[in-house]
Formats: sequence, structure tokens, C-alpha cells
Amino acid sequence: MTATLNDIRHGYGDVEVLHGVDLDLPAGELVALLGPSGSGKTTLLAIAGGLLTPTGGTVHINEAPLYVDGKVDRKAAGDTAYVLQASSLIGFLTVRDNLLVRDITAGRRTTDADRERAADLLDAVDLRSKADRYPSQLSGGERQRAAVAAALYTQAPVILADEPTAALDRHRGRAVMELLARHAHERNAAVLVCTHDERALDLADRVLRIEDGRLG
Amino acid sequence: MRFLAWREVRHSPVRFGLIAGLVALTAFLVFVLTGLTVGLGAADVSGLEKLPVDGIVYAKGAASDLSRSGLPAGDRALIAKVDGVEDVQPIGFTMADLTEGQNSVSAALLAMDPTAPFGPKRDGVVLDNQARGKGLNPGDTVRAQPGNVALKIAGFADLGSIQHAAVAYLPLADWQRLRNAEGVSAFAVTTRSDAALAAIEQAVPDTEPVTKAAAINAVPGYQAETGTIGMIRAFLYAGAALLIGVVFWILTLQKEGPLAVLRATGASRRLLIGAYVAQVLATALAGVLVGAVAGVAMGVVMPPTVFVLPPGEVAAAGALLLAVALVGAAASIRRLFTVDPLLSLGRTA
Repeated sequence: MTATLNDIRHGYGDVEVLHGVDLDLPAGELVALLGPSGSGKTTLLAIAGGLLTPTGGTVHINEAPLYVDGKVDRKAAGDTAYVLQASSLIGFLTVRDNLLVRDITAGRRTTDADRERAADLLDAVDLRSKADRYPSQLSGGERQRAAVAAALYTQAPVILADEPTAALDRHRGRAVMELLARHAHERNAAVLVCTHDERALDLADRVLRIEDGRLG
Repeated sequence: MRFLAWREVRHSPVRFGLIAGLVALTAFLVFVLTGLTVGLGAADVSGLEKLPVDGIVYAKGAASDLSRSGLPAGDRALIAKVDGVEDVQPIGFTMADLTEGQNSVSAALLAMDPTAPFGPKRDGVVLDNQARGKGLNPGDTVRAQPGNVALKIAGFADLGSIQHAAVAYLPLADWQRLRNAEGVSAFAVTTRSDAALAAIEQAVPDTEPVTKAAAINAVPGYQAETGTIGMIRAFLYAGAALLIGVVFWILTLQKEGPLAVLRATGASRRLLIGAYVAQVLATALAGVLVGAVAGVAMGVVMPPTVFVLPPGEVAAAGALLLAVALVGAAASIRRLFTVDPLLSLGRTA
């Protein structure tokens, strides 16, 4: 599955922060998007995932338009999952439930196989022993890794990660990037990682740079 | 839906416990006032409620007050002839103290013909059960004051109260002796329809027939008493709605972040609202149950002459409180509708 963004424009008031961005996210590829703060990375990510309607341009998830008449197509948006910058964990759920809640929100009944898959993902991010803890009981890095596991648990064909390694040391940051790359390659998913962190860029299939709302 | 609702409650038991505690306190007040309304109401009029009649014929101008009403005994025959009237029974009424030595009880003397189809068919005076334990026993001779007439206690029965005094049935002849009069206070009538009451007014001069319900409402002080407590209850319900509304409003504001994340992960508004309503209902139900238990316990301590909390009233007040909780909490539903998933990115634009 692919995500295609064409001529994306967006502004806040009179200030335009994205100036006609074109971006292809093909299946099976991890694309890293580098750029300084305020360059428009997070805005682009929000638009790619159906959280923010752009003022111009189109987004297609596997050729289906994500925005129709200015409104988000929920089915198309359901094919995307986020790893959010400001920690996307729900405070009143345990780490394990933060993964399983994705089934609830998608209207699915959680099975034993799902619980096993959640345990494996927590294992992969070295959090299995903390599955029953609440986010407030984790360190910043642990929360970040749990958020990655939660996004991967959805098995969404398009993963959008905003600064997924920001709170992590070099070793853990690389482990998270490896996990995302493996997800892209093994599950044939399109993965977009917005980051400042250049330490694990060698794991990306493609590196793009954005500055002042334009892809370089 | 239940997953989200229950997980949040389990994570914050103190927070939800405090909310349930607030609801419980409010519910307790509602149940206490309900018990007082029913109890004080019963103390005012239950003696009339227990009379198996359709209406009461008072003297014109008596304002449906038995104490002020007086009719000639001969009106009985005139009323009986009115079309639609099935039975007419004379009643006499006086508030009196029944005294025997040091023991005394205030009583609402309700006099009847010994042949009346209702009322105790015994000689002497029959007292309501609430007069038990006040030193008076069957066989005792009491003196009715004013009037200073000796009356023998025949027994006790469930007769109710009128104007907060225990009802005491006695033969009409004794009552006439007490009052030194030959007339009666009023007539209790059984009719085929309310139209017969209007016909009585036309046929018998200087009478004012009313339905039993109207007679009950006209008991002095009854409407003022129940109206005042009813108004306090209404304010309490409104206060409960406001209190629950504000508490859940604050709670919703506090969890805007998690709600935004849930929306970003694809949670439908229906799911979020369902979980919210489940929390409101569960919290309110817990509070109402605790309040009801405390209210019923209050009934054990309070005298039954002023506090009565029947199961039907508990169920009705509890259901109304749950409805009020939902109304109060409804204000926050709009917030759930409008929560922006973009907040999950730490952005407000």
C-alpha cells in the first residue's frame, strides 16, 4: 500500500507553512524526513494521516482520496497509524492496554492471538516486564518505545512517526528505527519518520529534507 | 466501550470514588427529604386516606375543614336520596387529648355510626397503633378533653393520623355527648361517579361536597408542608444536576489529551460518548445506592410518624436522580463531539 501526497499546501492564518509538497511513500519503504523545528514536518505528517485538512493539494492512500470535500475519509484514515511526538499513550491504560485499545477503537474483539502479538511487540521494544505499568510509571524513553509498539500493533499499512527516537539514547533509538524498518520491509508497509536525529539514517531507504515548507 | 470506561475508573478509584461520594451525599439528602415528605404527609392526612369513601360532604363555608364543618344529622336522608349516591355515613371530628392518670395522647377523634361498613365495630374508642407504648392499654378508661367525657379503650388498629395526631375511632353517640350536640361534622359518601357530588350540592342546601383527594388537600397545613419540602427537593434535584454536570465537565476537560489520542487512533465519537455515559451511570448508580442505604438506615432511627420511605419512593427518587445525573453530564457530551485529534500531536492549529 502506498501513500501519495500531491502539491500539499497549508497555512496558519496568513502564514503558509507548506508550499506545494509532493511526496510518495511506497509500500515496503522507510522514508526519513529531516528538517529543523518549524519546517513543516509535523504539519505534513498530520495531513498525511487525516488529522489536518490541507488548504490545498491531495492525499491518496492506495489511490483512495483521504480528503473528500474537505472531510476525512475514515476508511482511508484507518489505514494509517501514528507514533506521536508528545507521547501518544493514554494515561489511564496500562502499557499492554495501550496496544490492545487499538482493537477496541477499530471495533474488533481482542483475541488471545492479539494479546500474544502485543506481548511480542513489547518484547521487541524491551518493555515486556513493564506491560502492566501505567505510562506515568515509565521513563520518557520507555514511553516513546511503548508508543512505537502501539503504532506497530495496529498493523496499519502506513505508519507515520513523529520524532520516534527523540527521547532515546543512541542504542535504543537505533533499536526503534530497526523495528520501524523491519515493519516496512517485512509487512510491506509505507513508513514515514520525521526526525531531527541523524544517527540512524542509514536504516532509511530514502532520506528527504524539508525546510521552510519545501522538500529539498 | 466498557473496556475504556472501566479501565479509567480502575486507574482513578479515588477520583471516581469522590464523585460517587458527592452523588451519595446528595442522594442521601434527597432520600431524607423524600422520607420526611411522605412521613409528614402521612401524619397529616393518612387517617382520611384510609377511609374507603369517594367524597366528603362538608358544611358550606367550612373550607373542607372537618373542625369547622357542622351539619344537621337529618341531611343524611336527603343526601342518600340523591341520584348516584350509594352510601352515606355521618362522621364527627374533634381534636382532643385522651388522658388516663399521668398518661396522655393527642388524638384526632373520628366518630362514626357503629353500623358503618368501615371503621371498628367495637364499643369504646379504638386508637391508632402509634398510641401504643404511651401508657394506655385496652380496657383503660380515658378522659377526652375538652369535654371531660369518659371513654373506654377498646383496642388499637392501623388508623393513621390527621394533622399529626393519632386517629381514634369512636361511636358517633359518644362524640355527640362530648360535643354536647346532636349534629355531625360531615358525611362520608360512596358514589357511582363524581357527578353525584355536584348533585348533592344542588339537592341539599348549605353543603359543599368534595372528592376525597380534594378533602385531603384541604387538610390545614398539608399543602404548605408538602409544598415546602417538595420545593426543597426540586432545588436539590437541580443542585444535583448542576453538581454532577460541573464535576464531569472538569473531568472531561482534564482528559482532553487522552481523548484526542483516542480520536487520532480512530476511536469513533460514539465509542467515546458510550464510555462516558457508562462512567456517569456507574458512578451515579453507586452514589445513589449508597445514599439509598443511608436513607433507609435513617428511617430505622427516625420515628415512623415523621419519616416513611416506602420502596416505591426510593426507586422513583433513585431513578430521577440517575436521570438528573445524565442531564447534568450531558453538557460535557458536546466537548466529546468537538475534541480535536490534532491535539494529540501537541498542536492546536
